[in-house]
Amino acid sequence: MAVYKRSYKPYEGATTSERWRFLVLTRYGFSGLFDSRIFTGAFVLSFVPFLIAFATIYLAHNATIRAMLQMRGPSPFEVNNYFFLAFLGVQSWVSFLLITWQGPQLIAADLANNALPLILGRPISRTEYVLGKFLVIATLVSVATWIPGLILFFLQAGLEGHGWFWSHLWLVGSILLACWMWIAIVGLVTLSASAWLKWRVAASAVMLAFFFVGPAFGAALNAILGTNWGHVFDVLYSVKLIWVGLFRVPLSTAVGMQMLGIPLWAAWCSVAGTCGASLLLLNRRLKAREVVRG
Amino acid sequence: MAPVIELDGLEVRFGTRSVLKQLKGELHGRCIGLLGPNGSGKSTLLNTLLGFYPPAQGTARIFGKDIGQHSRELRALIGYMPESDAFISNLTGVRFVRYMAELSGLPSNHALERAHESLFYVGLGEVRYRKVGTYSLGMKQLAKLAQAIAHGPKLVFLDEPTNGLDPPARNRMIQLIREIRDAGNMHVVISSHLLRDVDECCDEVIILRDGHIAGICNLEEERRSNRKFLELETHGEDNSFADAVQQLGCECALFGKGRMKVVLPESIEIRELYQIAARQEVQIRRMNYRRDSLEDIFLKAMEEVGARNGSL
Repeated sequence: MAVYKRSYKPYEGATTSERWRFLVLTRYGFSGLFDSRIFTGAFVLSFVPFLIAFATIYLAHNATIRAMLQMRGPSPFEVNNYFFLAFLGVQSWVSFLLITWQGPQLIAADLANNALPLILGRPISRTEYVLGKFLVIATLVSVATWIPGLILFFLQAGLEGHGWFWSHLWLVGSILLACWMWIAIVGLVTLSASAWLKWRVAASAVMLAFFFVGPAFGAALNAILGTNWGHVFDVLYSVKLIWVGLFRVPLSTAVGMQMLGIPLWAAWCSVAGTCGASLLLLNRRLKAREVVRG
Repeated sequence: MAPVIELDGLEVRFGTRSVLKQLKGELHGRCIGLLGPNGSGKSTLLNTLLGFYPPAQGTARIFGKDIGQHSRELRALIGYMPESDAFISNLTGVRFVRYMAELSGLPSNHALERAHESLFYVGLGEVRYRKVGTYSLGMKQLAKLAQAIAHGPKLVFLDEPTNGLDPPARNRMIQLIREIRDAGNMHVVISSHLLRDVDECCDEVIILRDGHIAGICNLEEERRSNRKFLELETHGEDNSFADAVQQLGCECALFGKGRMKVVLPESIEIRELYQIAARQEVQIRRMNYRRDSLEDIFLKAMEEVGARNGSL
């Protein structure tokens, strides 16, 4: 119907699949993030470490260019588990900063002017709502972490040959597991901060505080009580500990030595507890209507 | 024909407090008014029908479908305009309505087309590319209406649609609701404490008080049946006059001091009342045409529930 015919007409066309309708939330969430030019620029810049790593691997295998650059002897770069751990460490920080900046607006924008009843008054459940918003963060962090990680892995495998591929295949699982654990933590903490604080700047501040005040609190606890269990309040420490395990870094090395504070199971509990608490906060906050009990 | 809304012992509790108490009734109207004083449970009923609150007891059915079992299916058929502000301020009008239509299941291109149509229809065509956050209160109300009808629902819930509107904006909103009603494609439920809004739009009302149904009234039938309703003030022997009027075929009710109400059938002329009065030597000192207004119906229902509660 043309817009000039200003009379109401019912809709009789096709509808989209109910199963995948939550992706509408993801799509609109993405377009909201990329409305900011600064964010788009920062997102593009987040690929710089990947490009450097890509060039490094290529350079390590290209004798001609190395000769042109007058680099003699074996390549100074060894692409192994340490390399991927370092690369993902950098990328996870980059993705964390990106998410901290724009992520809190994902739910806060809906809550600021009470749009949640409009969304949940449609055939969208609360779980689908959270999933739709979570996928925005998951996609963004994926693009910055495990996707380039795997590209680097396959580049290295292609240049190094079959032997390297089969001997390092376990790294694929490590990259995926490490990154998805990071996605779960960052995603859920961002969404819960976004759900409880309508002001984006405040939500970003809370996220930073969560990741930086936790270590301080843990360190204070360790110092006062003379224990190492304060590290369970330091999610970043727990993540590092799990990553060190996933990338098979021996505890006798310098990196491994830093991770002797708490056992691995306690680190997993710390991560699971953070995710669980975030889900509880989301469950408590994301309701179409507040109920005043009496 | 299945009722639009069927309440079957519906009860909703918030903690230990019952907000809706054993609601029973059927609503068939094209435009249904949900009336009641503030805090009577109107918005809670709408929210329960939308599946936001689970019933503690009983259930309700919309178009014959249980709200508990078919909640998702029903929400695809319903458009909802909440009472309070509800919008996403950083989206333009057209993007906001399109987003809501897509969430209701419309494909992206259809949703865009419907968003334009709906915004033109409610009168926001010229400002559809402005951010919703910059709209005036009246425009925000219209944007809420646009998003409620964009996906072509079968039933639309309007919660206090004229809240905060100035008289011209209110008239525009009422006019739109009537147009939607008269288009015949969807049923409308208007929750309001403003009798005038409901009177101007609705053909059926459900009146709530303290979570109870105080009354369900088919306004169309009331209007038809009270077409020849007369209020008389007489001087003289009014009992015999009333008997004679009843023998003529009219319904008659006496209220003392010569006051009476007479419902005239179509076939009886007023002249005949004067003839009876002359024969009975009764003076008719005042005669007014009147019909029970929605206000009368509402106050009567409130009094009845008040008396019932008082006697308990």
